[in-house]
Amino acid sequence: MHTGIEDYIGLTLSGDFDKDTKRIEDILKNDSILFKRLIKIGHTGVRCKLYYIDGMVNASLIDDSVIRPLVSTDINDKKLANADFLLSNILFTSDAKTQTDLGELLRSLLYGDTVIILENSKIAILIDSKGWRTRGVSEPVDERVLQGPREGFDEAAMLNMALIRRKLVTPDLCTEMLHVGRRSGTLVFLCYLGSLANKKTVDFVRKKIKEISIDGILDSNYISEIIKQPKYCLFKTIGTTERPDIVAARLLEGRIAVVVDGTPVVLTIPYLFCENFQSDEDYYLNFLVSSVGRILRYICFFLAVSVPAVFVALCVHHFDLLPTSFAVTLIRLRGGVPFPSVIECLLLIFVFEILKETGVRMPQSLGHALSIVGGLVVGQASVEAGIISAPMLIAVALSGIAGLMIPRLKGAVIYIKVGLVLAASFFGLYGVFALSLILILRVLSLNSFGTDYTLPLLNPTPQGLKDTFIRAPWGNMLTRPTFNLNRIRKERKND
Amino acid sequence: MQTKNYSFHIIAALCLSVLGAAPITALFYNATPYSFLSFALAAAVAISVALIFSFCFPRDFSACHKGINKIFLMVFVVSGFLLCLLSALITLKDFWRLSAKVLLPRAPEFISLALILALLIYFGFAKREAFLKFCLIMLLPVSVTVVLLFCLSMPSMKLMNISVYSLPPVNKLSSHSLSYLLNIFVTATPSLILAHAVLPQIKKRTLLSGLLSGSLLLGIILLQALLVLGSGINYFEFPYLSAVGTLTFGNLFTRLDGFVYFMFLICAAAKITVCINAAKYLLSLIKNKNSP
Amino acid sequence: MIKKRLLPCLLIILIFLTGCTGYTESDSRYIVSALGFERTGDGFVIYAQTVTANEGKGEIAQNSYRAFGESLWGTLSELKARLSKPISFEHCSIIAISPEIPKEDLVKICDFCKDLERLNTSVYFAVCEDIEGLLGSDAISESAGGYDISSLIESRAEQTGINYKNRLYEILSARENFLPTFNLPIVSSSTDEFYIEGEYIYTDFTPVKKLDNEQSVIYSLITNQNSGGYITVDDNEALMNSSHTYLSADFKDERLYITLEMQTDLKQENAEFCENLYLIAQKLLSEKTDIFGFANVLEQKHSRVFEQIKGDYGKAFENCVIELANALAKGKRG
Repeated sequence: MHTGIEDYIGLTLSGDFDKDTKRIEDILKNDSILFKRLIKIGHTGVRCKLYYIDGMVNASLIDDSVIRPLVSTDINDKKLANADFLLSNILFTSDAKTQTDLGELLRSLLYGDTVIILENSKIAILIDSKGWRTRGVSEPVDERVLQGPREGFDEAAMLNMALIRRKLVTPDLCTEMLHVGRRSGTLVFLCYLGSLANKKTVDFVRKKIKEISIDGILDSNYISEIIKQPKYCLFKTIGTTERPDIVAARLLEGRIAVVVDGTPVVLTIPYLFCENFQSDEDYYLNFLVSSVGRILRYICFFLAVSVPAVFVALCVHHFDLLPTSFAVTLIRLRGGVPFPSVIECLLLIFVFEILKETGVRMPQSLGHALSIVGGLVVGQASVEAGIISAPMLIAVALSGIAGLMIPRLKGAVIYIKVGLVLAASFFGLYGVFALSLILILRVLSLNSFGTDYTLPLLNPTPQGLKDTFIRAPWGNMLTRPTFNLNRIRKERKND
Repeated sequence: MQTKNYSFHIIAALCLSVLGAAPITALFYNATPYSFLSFALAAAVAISVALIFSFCFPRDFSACHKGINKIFLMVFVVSGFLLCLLSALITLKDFWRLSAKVLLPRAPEFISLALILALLIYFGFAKREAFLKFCLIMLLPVSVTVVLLFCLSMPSMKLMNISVYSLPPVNKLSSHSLSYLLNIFVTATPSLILAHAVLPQIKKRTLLSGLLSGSLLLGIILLQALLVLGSGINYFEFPYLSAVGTLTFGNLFTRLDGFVYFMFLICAAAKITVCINAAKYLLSLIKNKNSP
Repeated sequence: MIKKRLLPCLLIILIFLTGCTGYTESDSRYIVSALGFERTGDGFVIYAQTVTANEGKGEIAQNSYRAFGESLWGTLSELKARLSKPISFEHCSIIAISPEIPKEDLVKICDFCKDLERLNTSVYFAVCEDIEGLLGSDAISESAGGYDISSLIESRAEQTGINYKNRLYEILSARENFLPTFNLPIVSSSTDEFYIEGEYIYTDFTPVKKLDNEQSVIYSLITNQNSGGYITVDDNEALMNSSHTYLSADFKDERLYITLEMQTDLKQENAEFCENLYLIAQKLLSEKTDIFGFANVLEQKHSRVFEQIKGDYGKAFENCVIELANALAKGKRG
């Protein structure tokens, strides 16, 4: 049974008009929105049949630029009714080409092109007549900036490519088109700057994408999870963004972008650990402001993962490390709480995560109600009822709020936080420290498609660290950070 | 080409290796008011010997697999390997004692051992590059902790606690220096082996910086404990911890031992991993591979 | 491959060990805020002031317990047996001792405290005539009585500039000196407050002198343990901003000569104040026992003199001539 376009790749038209048209109609017999139109070319009497998918095409373009010229042409020589003559002399469309491969014909037809099968010809004509509606260029919801461009990607890959192309007006921009997914045939573009990207990484990514064997790709995350290495890692090794300026900036650093049709989220490879703490507008605001924000994010990450664990460890195993007055206050506030500290902490983390997720998914009109319920019920009422203690609530709330500062590490923070809390409850600060060291070493060992995940630490000089903990002023960013291990770093002014 | 500059990493590894578990007990073994002088002398001797060692360390081992050179190579490898093992075991023993008595006093001792062994096994299997980066980033919190705690304890320091008005007898000074040399600096030798393994053309100033920074931090720790605790330092099982425990900074920061626990764990783990990596390198020499 | 198999095994082993680490909640233990030691004819009495959470929410209960025993560790076991929850010494701020405790037992108490689990080496020692009354008093602050007493000692030290050498690690350090000397404040309690009545000077772990509050300030000036504060002498008060005591020593004609120069900056000139202060200082210096720990200073700074007298220091000090040179003159060094 034929399931995808690949099954028809390599097959060609026979040249028998009735046979070819019947073949196409048989393949797409279950598609009720396939539109067929039989016309004769001018006075030649040569038949041609148009196929397109209703709703995906620009109907007026077909009427005015394809059907009208074909029908009203004056030619009466049958020999002139061939694909090349029609393309160069009769048809008014800007994008049209010939095609013999049945698979490619079907792919184009199903993507919004118009296919013309000609009598006594093995060559068909493909006309770009895509006319489906898109969402349009709008600001991404999750990547808002105070200052800077506000364009965002759309679901149409072609439009996204156009947005990238507008940012990088250079012939060095390479784009490769791939089709991924047996039944979806999703269009995937690989973009990179030829003189900057690491060729080995490009080849590796291309190979990995071509090896994907799946029914359909509906989002870039499908590709991301399949090609990611290591597969089961807490931290992202592939970047994502919905902004063309960010993609352009990353391409200029030597990264590779993967644009997937049907989703506004573009992947960038490789991805470094320090990027988790960068914000989109770091480069659009003054460097002092950006640097403060970045340092704050590092601090927030540390707070988000460690505060609950350290608090549990101090309360349970290392009570001597607390000041006496605070220790007595803690005993007083904890009195009567039925749960052990670790259960209390995990419960609060769980509730906080529920509140966070609910806040994301619920209708906006209920937002106020949720914040009141969350604050009053979870906060005040639970403490007054003696179900949880106020200090633990404060610790978990602080950790939760700090975690919101670094949305790119959302998943990792939760796992690390819970892991550290468990280590703290069983082994105290010893367990917390040991697990922290293991995590640190794990991060240092990671690599993203052959590039060290903590690349700046390999060359800990001011130029190497200029864009990690702080953001140096543009005038001081003298060398380009490149992931191309085969190229010498160049001075910007000599480029 | 993205150049990899390992000099800073080697300095960090050397520094943490010299620290090791020394602040736990070795630094305060039979401490007297003259201990700081003895330590300074031991450090000077050790650094000089390390520089000589660096000059004599063969750059290319491929020529050492024939005839009499092979014997020397075997002697060097075997003695180095044993030293690495001994150094790792001493550090492990000290840290185990600390963790069993202080970090998890209510737990059976084998729990502390199990935890640190789990940590060390993970570190042992880690990539060398990752470990060197680990040393680099950990050097900053460790040195900041040591210096900060020293500064905070200045109000409770008494200059009378160290011998500043007279020199000690030479025999006492030299015997004490020898014990520092053996217990601290000889056990840091595996780090020199690793340094040469990672950077065969290592610069002398890299070695010097690493050893000096480690010795300086150890000196600060010794000085702080001596000045705060005085002659009674030998009554305490973990003098540096006790000295830090006396610190108060306002009403909130009263027991700053937690920072020291973290520092001890980092240094002990770093030193033992350095020993493991050095031992692995020495074994690879027998298998006729020069590259680290 | 080894790593892939080893790590899960280690994880499973660690999971099985998780119950062995002594998990104790903060409200499931007795926190000892103060300890007291007395010596009876047969053995020791240990008093413990504890803080624990009440069964009801939002309250803490401070109680005082005592136990008898022949040895210190035996007495402690007896005390632990009386309590229904585990006991923790991490927040013990004060150790009160009776002035009648003999030297050997005081040394034992110091060693006992040093070995006591998690007891902070900065714990304050204090002398108290009525330990049971002191530890049974209600707390003034929201914390515990022991914390209040330690706060009292600290605030007095801040006000008067006295640097009490009464922490556990200081007493242990003093043992290594030629002449162990330290001073412990005398703490008492009334119905609604704690107060310090003076201090006891201990030489070689024996209380040799009891000073009142005025004398203890001047004592601290003589021994260079004053960092500056208010001094009251016969209702006259002055702010001592800085004080340095310089000791010079000589051994001539088989006699020890010690000269003390005290440099102070008095904020207000008051001749009567200076006169009174000087008299008290002279009186203190006329003691025949080295209550000031001069021996230790001599050993450090004047080793030549020390070598000559250390064989029979007690006798040498009895015959010693101590001169207070140009004491309390404003900004003047003799």
